[in-house]
Amino acid sequence: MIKVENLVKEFGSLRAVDNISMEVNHGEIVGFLGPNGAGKSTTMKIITCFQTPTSGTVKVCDHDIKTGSIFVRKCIGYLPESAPSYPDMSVISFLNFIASIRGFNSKVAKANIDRVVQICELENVLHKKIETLSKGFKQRTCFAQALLHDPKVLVLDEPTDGLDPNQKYIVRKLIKELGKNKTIILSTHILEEVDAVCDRAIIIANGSIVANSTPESLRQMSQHYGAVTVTIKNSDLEKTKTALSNISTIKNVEVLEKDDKYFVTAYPNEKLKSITAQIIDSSRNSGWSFSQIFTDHGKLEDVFRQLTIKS
Amino acid sequence: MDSILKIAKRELTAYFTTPIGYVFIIAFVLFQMFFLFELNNFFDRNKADLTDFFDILPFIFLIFIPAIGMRLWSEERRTGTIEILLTLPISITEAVIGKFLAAWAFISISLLTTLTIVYTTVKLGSPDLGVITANYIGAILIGGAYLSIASFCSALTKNQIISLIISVKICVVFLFLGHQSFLNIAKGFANKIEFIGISSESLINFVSSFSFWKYQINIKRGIIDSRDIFFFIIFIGSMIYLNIKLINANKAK
Repeated sequence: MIKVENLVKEFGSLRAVDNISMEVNHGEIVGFLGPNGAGKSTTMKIITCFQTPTSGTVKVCDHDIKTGSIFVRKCIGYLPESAPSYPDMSVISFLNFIASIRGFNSKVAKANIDRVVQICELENVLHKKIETLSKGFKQRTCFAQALLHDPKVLVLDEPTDGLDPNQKYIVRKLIKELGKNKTIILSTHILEEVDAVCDRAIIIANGSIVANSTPESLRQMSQHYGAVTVTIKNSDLEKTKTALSNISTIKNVEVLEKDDKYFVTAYPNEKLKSITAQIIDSSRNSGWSFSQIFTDHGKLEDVFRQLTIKS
Repeated sequence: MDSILKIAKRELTAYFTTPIGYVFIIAFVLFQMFFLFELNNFFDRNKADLTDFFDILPFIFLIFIPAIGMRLWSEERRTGTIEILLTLPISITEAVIGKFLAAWAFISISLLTTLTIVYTTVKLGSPDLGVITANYIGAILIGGAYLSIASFCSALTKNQIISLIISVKICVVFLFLGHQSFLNIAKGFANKIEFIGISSESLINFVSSFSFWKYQINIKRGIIDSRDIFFFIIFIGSMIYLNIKLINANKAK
């Protein structure tokens, strides 16, 4: 659905996007991650035909952004960063304007507006001026604009930025629902969002892609993935350390003290092979006990930092 | 074509759904009344014509039209709505022309408010209505020319004030190039300098042939010459073309 090949965008001497290639397939929700200034928004602006690339090609729904720009724009719904819309218009007149530009006759326009108003829950603010709305409603008004023509492809630039937790929940639920039969690419720096909604995550740093896989396999890249932490009493510390160090599948053991408790973390030799069972056996056989046991599944934040700071 | 009208309609509506339109029209009317009745002693002159009124109009426009045009594109860029507008399935040409036409229509509507002055004059005497009509056409044309400059300048920057200042300057240049005051200075200056191969006279005439002033002199007398109209249309068309090129260049920047 979206095919980006060797995309380069330069602003003067700055290379904002440096040879990016990627594909997003039908029915996929892809999260686009990266620090500020990594080139996420620029890439999205190129996909939506707002900016032209320095070199490289982008195809959306089999149309090239250079030769078939109008067709590309017809099949994309775009929610720009910070969700701009005309502040002096009411929600309904804004949606009517977009519908008329999209070429709907009044009957089709009404049906589509009714649909997006319902999806984005805008019923109560239809006749209010956009400038008087809260951030959440502004966001959803702009979202409604992007959904109006029931596009095959949605490009969402930080769709939950600046929303409160409840609003974030609503928007995420919405995206997840829409993702069932649309192709969605969304940028964010909220990593929990990727876990909550995305099928795949692409991490970009300094204009290049540094990772491209499912959230689960990204987490496996974390140093902490598969590490097991046990909480023990003071008196058991030495015994525990020795016992764990003797297990062959454990690479190393770390100890942390907090509030008179000891947290012993064991790292496995191989991340994907669980060491939890061996640790429980060791506790039973070597005479030490734990009050809590926790297996770390890796945090995307750690992986994000590993990947984006390194490069 | 259809999209042009839709864009124009939205833009024009925006003038009247915000205070901007009303504030502007009121200021415009008060400003000219002040010029006409206070500075120009309209009632003491015992002449029922509006020559003086239309004489000052290009100068009033110098401030008012760049003020209308300054927001056309810089406002879109400042608020980010340009990303919505230019990712809709319309061409840049349609967007530029649509916005231009809306602002031009708004200027024409503001001009209609001056019909009260015409009414006053008709009540007081019998002015030549043909000349007045020609003058209105001239005013709309020169307004369009100023506006095309202002619209172009507005696409140069996010900052409306900068766009205002640049467009006022350019409009001043295009107005005064053919004004007697400029010609006197230029000719006085040219006498002191020897041009090689080109007569200073023809050079000055060439430069001044781009002036709005020159083309509205005939119109002011009530003569609508197709060449004068043609000049304004070509000028406006060229500026709109540059405006489209500029927005395209911004996309690639």
